[in-house]
Amino acid sequence: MITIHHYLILSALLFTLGLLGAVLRKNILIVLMSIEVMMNAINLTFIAVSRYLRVMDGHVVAFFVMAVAAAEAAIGLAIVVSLFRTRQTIKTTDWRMMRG
Amino acid sequence: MTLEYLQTLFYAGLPLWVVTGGGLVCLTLDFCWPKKGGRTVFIAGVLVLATALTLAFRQWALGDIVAHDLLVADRVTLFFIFIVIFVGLMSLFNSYSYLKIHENVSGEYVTLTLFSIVGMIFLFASDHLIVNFIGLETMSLAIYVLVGSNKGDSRSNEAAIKYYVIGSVASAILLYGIALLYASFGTFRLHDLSKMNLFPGLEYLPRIAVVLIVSGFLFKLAIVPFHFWVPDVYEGAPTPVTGFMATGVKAAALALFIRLLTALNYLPEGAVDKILVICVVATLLVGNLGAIVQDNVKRMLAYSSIAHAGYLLLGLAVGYQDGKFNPEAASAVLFYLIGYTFMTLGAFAVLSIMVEEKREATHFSDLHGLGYKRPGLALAFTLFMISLLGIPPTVGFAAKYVVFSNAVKNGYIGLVVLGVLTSLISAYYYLRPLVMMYFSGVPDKPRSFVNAPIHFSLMFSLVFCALAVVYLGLRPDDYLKLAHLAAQAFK
Repeated sequence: MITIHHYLILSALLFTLGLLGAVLRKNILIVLMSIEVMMNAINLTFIAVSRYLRVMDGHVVAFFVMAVAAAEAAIGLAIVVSLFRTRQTIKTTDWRMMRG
Repeated sequence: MTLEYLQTLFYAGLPLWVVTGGGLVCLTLDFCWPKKGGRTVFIAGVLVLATALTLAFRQWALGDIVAHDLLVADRVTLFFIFIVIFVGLMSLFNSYSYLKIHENVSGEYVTLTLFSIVGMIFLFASDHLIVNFIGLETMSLAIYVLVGSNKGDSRSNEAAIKYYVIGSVASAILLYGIALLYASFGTFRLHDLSKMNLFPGLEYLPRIAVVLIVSGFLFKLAIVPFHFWVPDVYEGAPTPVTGFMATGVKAAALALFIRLLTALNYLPEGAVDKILVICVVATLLVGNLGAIVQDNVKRMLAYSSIAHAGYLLLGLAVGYQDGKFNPEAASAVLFYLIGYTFMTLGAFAVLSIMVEEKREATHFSDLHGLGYKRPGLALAFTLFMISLLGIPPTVGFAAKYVVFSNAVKNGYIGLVVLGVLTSLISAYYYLRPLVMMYFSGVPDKPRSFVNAPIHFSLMFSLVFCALAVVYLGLRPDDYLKLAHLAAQAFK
């Protein structure tokens, strides 16, 4: 029997995985993907809870979150393209013009 | 959904609808005249924001207070609406000549500024956490693009990607906090959430949620454990955008932060006070000590904005008791925010002039001899610096005085001592530009911006901010009353 707890634990795991990926990986595309994983883990929580409570708000919110995540990904990729034009690299460790 | 309901919603959010519609109009204008539309769109943007400001004043004056679920328009919300719209207006004035030098005058810039203001307003003018979150994202997404709007400059791009990654992670953490709150109580309404009781045995879930949400906001406010992105992003972003971020984003995040701290009381008693005090101490020390070693004025101002966020948080920390803000302390914080807005915008207006051959020239050494070549400009910069430092007769002094005296009244002597000591430290880095301008001789080959004329719009914002800094420093009473009136909402 799969209960609400399983969903919540799964989404917590996915979220942690995404957070670790966003913090630790050096390739900016992987970082963007990790951010998407975090957003989708959150969506899983919303939908599971909403289903469990038999209310609709969580389902609706999931759509809003998807829209926000899509907009975020579009802007992130645009910034990466613009950065790649000036620097010719997508490794985060190479972007160290400013530090301190 | 009666007609009456829609009518109240329409009137309550009138400034908001004007800015949203104005943003769309600006986008269309830019689309219709792609070659020469920049100037027209700038004027349109300024008109839109001025109209929205007038409408917000009208609402304040009429006492047209609405507290609907999705759109809250009480006095404190209106107060923050004034601040963010004013910041947007001044940033547009600051940026016109800057963009002209970079040959980058475009409608997108204005549109993105307007949309980020819409996001800021939605961020705090709602009682529904998801609406707040969408406001936050609208604001952040627009600002990511603004930060990277110097497309050919690799510093600007680097700042954009750093801000983007860190901002997105912070938003995701915040949203996960909201999801956990939903999982524990099944509602998104702050009004309902503030009345919920913890289930015995399940206290940890809402507590984790609150910690996640608060840390998401500390990211946006640039409070110390989450401040590391600020110097890089503020240095790389185009100067007027930096001014916009340092004032607008901070004000908007602060507004919701106050509301959240009063609504979500799930942490054990005394825990929030402790967290706030620790954050204040760390922020004051890191902000002020970090600014000392900088050799770029913009970077120095980035650390200074961290330090000022610390003073704002100090004002909040001393007024927080049992999940409520003391209106007296809250009004001190609101007044500090007014002062901080004026002086920071003014300082960034001066920095917006310092551009040489399409590159920003904002090192301390670029200020050499400015005091003799451009006495007026140097005088204005001096004024903003001593105001940030907190010397009378400027608003910086009045604001710090109000915050510190409130802290003494509430018995936080240690924090006040620390605040005064760190203000003393800050004298070193705020007075360094003045030494550069007046006491280090005149260079043989001055920077080109020294002789360039100042554009009318920039002149306007410079003079306005300078006058406001002096006026508020000499006669703070009226604005203290205004802040006090706004803070009554916390009763």
